[in-house]
This record gives sequence, C-alpha cells and structure tokens, in this order.
Amino acid sequence: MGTGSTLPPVVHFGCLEQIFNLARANSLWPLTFGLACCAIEMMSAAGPRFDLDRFGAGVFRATPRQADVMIVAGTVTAKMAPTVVRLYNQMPAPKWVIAMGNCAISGGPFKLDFNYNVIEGVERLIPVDVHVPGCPPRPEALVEAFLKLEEKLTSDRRFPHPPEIPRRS
Amino acid sequence: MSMAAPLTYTLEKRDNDNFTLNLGPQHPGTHGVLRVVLQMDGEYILHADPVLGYGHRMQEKIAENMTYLQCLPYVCRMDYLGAMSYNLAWVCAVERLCGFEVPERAEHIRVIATELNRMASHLLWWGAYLLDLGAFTPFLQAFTDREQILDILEYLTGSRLTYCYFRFGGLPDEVDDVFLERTMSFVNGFRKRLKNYHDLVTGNVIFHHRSKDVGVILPFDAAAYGLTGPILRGSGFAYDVRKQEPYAAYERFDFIVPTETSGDCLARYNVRMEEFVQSMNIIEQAVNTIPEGPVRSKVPKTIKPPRGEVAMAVETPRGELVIYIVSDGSKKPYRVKFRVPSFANLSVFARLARGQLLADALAILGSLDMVIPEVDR
Amino acid sequence: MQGSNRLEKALAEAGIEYRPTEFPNTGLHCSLSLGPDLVRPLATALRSNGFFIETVTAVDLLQENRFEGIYLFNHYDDPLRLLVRVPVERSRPVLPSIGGIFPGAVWHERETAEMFGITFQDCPDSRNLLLPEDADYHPLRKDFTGRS
Repeated sequence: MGTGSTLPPVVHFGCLEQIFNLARANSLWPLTFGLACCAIEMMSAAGPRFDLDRFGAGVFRATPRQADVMIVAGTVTAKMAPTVVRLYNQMPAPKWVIAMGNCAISGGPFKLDFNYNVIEGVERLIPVDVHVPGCPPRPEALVEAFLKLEEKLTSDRRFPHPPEIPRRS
Repeated sequence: MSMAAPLTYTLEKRDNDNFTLNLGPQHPGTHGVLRVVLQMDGEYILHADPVLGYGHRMQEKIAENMTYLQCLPYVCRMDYLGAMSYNLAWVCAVERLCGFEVPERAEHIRVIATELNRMASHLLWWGAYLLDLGAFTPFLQAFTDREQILDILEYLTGSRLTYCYFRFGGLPDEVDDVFLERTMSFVNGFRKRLKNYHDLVTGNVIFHHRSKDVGVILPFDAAAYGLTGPILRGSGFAYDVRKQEPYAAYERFDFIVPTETSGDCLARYNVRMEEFVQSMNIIEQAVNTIPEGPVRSKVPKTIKPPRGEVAMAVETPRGELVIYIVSDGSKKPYRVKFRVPSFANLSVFARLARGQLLADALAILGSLDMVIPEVDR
Repeated sequence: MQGSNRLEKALAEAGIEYRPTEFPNTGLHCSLSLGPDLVRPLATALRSNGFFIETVTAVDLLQENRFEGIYLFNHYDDPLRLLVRVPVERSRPVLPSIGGIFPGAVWHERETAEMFGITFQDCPDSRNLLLPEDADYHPLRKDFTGRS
C-alpha cells in the first residue's frame, strides 16, 4: 500500500485503494532536487533518450507542494540538511523518496574520517523508499528506480521483463 | 544550525514595497545549490547576496589526505560537466612537478577528449540557459547531441559523466581507430546540426529582447573580480589559457579565440556558440595529425614528487582553473588549492544583479554558466 | 620581453625588486616573499597596471609554527603569474585585506579566514562563506582532524 502517510486511514476501501495506487504509480511527479553530479544524470533521464515521461514521471515540479516523489540526487551537506527536511515536510502525503547516487545512500566517496560537512546518507534525515547505487548511476538505473517504486505501490511489476532474445554467436 | 537569514536582513516597517526574497537553495534556475538573498523593491532587485556552502564537500582537505592518484576521482567531481579538463589540470600539474614527459599520441588524445567534453558542457549550458528563459525545445535538441558525445567518451573511458581517464605520463590504455572514426563522424554531423541551433534560437526576437543589453560586464570590473572564460571574452578581452600558456599540444593547432565587445548576455552566448566551431576545428586537426606510438611514458608506481610548489592553469569550459600544489616530498600533497573559475565569475553577480528585474537576474545567472559544487568545492 | 617589463614596472611602483623564476618547472613567472605591510601597496600598483586577482589563500606550516598567506596574480595580455608569500605567526594570524582594491578578493579572503582562522584587517565583509554561520572550527588547519 502507499507509504508516507503520517496517520493511518480511518476507513479502508480495498478495491478503491488499489485503483488509487495504480493511478499514483502511473503519475509520480518528481521534485527538482538536483544537488550535485547526479542531477545531470537525472536531467538526462528526463531528456529525449531515456524518457521518463513515458512512465508518467516527466512532469518535474519546482515546488514540493505539488510533487509526489523527491529524488535526492547528489551530496547532502550539513548546511543543506535543514532544507532537505523542510522540503520533505512541505510535500503532501502520500510521498516517496528516491536516494540517487552513492552520496545520497551513504555519503559515497566523502565518507571519510575527517568528514566535517557531509551527511553520510540522506536516510539519516528522511525515510527513503528506493536506493539507486552508482556514482553517478546511469539514467536507466533511475528509470528502474521508478519501476521499483511503482512495484512497491502496486505490488505488481508494471512492465514485465521482455523475453530473452537468443544471441547469435 | 539555524535556517534564518542573517541578522543584517531584518524586515523593518517601511512605507514602500521593499522586502526580502530568498532564491534557492532549491530552485530550478540556480544551476545547483545556490542561495541568493535578495532585497527587492517590487520586482527590481536592490541588493543581491549569494550564500554559498550548500555543496561544500571538503575537496581541499581530502586532497591533503589522499595520494596523488587517489585524488583523481575527487578532482573530476568538482566540475562534473568539464571533468576532462579538471583531470587534465591535475595530471599536468603533477607531471610538471615531477618532470614527467608525455608521448605525442597521448597528448593528441588528451586534446580530443577535452574538446569533446567542452562541446558537451556547452551543449548542456545551451539547453539549460534557454530552459531558464522559458524555451523547452532547445533542451531536448541539445541533449540528443550531448548523448552522442557521451557515448563516444564512454567508449573511450568507461563512464558517462565523471571520468577519471588520464594518468600521470599519458593515458591508461591504447586507443584504437574506432574512437577516432566515431569522433570524426560526430563532428561532421554536428556542423550541420549547429546551423539548426542558430536557426532556432540565435535570431529569435524574444531571445534578443531577453539577452541584449542585459547584465553588461564592464572591462573595468573584469580584472577587479578576476573573471575568466567566455564571460570575459564577451567583454572584449582575448584571454584564453590555451593560447597564453599552451599545454598538452594546443600550440600545434590553429584556432582563434572568439571575442565580442558588448559584454551582455547575447555577447556571452555568441562567444560560446563560436567556441563550438573552434573546438570542432581543433578536434579535426588533432585527428588528422595524430602520430603512432606509445601512449604512456614510464613513471614510478608510487608518485613521490620532490619538495616544492607548482601552479598549473587550464582552460575549462567555464574559465581558467589554477591548481596550486605544495609538496613536501611525501606521496600525499601537503596543500592543494583549486582556483576554480566559477568562484570568481559568481562574485560579480551581486554587482550585475543590482537594479535588474528578477527575471533578468536569472537570465544573467544562466549566461554566467556556473556549476555550484565547483564554487563550493 | 614586454611582459616581464610590465611586471617589473608594477613592482617598482611598490618599491619591490623583481626576481623571475623558472616558468616551465613551477608554472610561476615570479615568486616573492613580503612582509604584511607591503601587500596593499603592491596590490594598488598591480591594479593600476591591469593585473587581475587569481586567488588569495594560505598554507599551514605547522612545523614552523606559521601560516603563509598566498596571493596569485596574473595579467590578461601577457603570461605573468605572480605568487606573493606573506608569512604570519600562527598564534595571532593577521593579514591586511585587499578587498578595497580588488573587490573580487573579498570572497577569497572570507574563505581563507574561515578555513584557517586568519583575520583580514578592514575586510568589507567578514562572514563565513562556505561553512555554516555558527561554525567555530577551522578545517584546513593541520591539527584539525574532524568534528567528533
């Protein structure tokens, strides 16, 4: 079922919630939250080659109040941390978070002994639904992250694996 | 730590329309995590104060704690759009410090890879700048061509965005003719595509209204703020590090340094569009005259430079990068200073934005072509 | 060579002697070591001769118990990279600010001040630039090993 609501629903409509989740999965609107290098791969994923719009996720909103999913693309620093939390709080439920790139998952290459400014993983600040490893991850990996998120919502993989084409050796 | 604006910006009760507006750090038009605190009078900006540090990733402290080779991946993550030129700067700085020679074939490949990266960076600038001005089509066209360059560079290096390709003394591996053929076929195709770009945007009357006489950088301010790169060349100075202090075989190739004199956003736009043509000329010459031979000279396995200091300047797509290394004879640098071009280029924004409309200020930010993690290092 | 004449003339205006260095080995055309009181006259002379500021930074020499303020200047018309070294004591590091002469140096000085703890006298703006506003540590000092 949908994650991210802070209060449990009072009444459950089984079939209706399945329809709602299907609708939500097909129109996840991301928030433009590119922080560093992974932002460029996020832009490439929204670009003409690895089109995110065919999954309904191409409408990037600049304001969190209209967004469903927050793609944390890049390194979160100590100065940026309150902003990340504030933006997450401004998003209306149901909301999801994709941690894109090694820096958002665990601090990435900046997880060092003398680290004084990098938050080691955005999971320390906000709950994360999908982690996308890579430095930076390929745009296809971000597309797969959206498919995994849809799978999480609808408990059914939206686009099944295509049949294996046998290689001619 | 508090999120409030600093104490100097208290809102006093006044009989006019002045108010404080916060632009960023999450904003689609600021090209990264830049926060600008604006004092506004209606829609005009009275005072702009950039607040930095939202992308500060301790690069200089990291460089003191890693060996010279381990620094290479960190260096390219500062300016991820011009990562090849940053790699080139780091590798050439250490080679200058240690006195290593680089074979000619390696230098030609370095030039080709760096110029391809420059074109990819300018393509992204073109798409993003016009997206800031409100046009969505150029972004899609630019990314189509940019993906072709990224494919060629992925064939060469293995990664799409943050390359760690060059090594001390040359290249890590042999380069075959497939790379050179793919580069030449891309260059021949892109010459025709560039005409499409000019037809679409350059003569557009709305674009002229939004960029002509907007954000004029006076020549007097250029030296005071230490500006370099296309924004300097838009104000009349023909300063390009590739011509002034040639490195890595650039003196063997014929190219001009495009300049304009009006200093506004349109001038900076024209300079960068002409730089596409010059980059393609350089790539063509480099491919046609590339010699056979080794691609790496013999260097020791662990780099231990002699005591001393070195400064290496390189022309990135944004301007002049200077890497200053102080070495104490061990295998880790003692102090590394990255003088990044966007730092100086952003410091003139406060002066340029004064008295402008907010929409014009965003157009100026787009034409300055900054990468904020580079500014914050 | 016309370039070094320009630099010599600028240095002479500030009363400093010109000594060239080996460019291909170090990337610097001239390297000087000055006292703090000569920094502002030198900056004024360089500004009036068309030099531009590349950077202002510092090096922490913990063993010798001092900081060295490093200034890099260059010129648009000729290759003329000038490095100026200004040693100051580590316990009370104070350098004169050239923010009034080169407005672009203000940001470089703000960053050097917060990273090393050096005070720049009469700097028009002395807030933190990259670190949070309430940071009380100086990361690029050699005895800083992390916040814990």
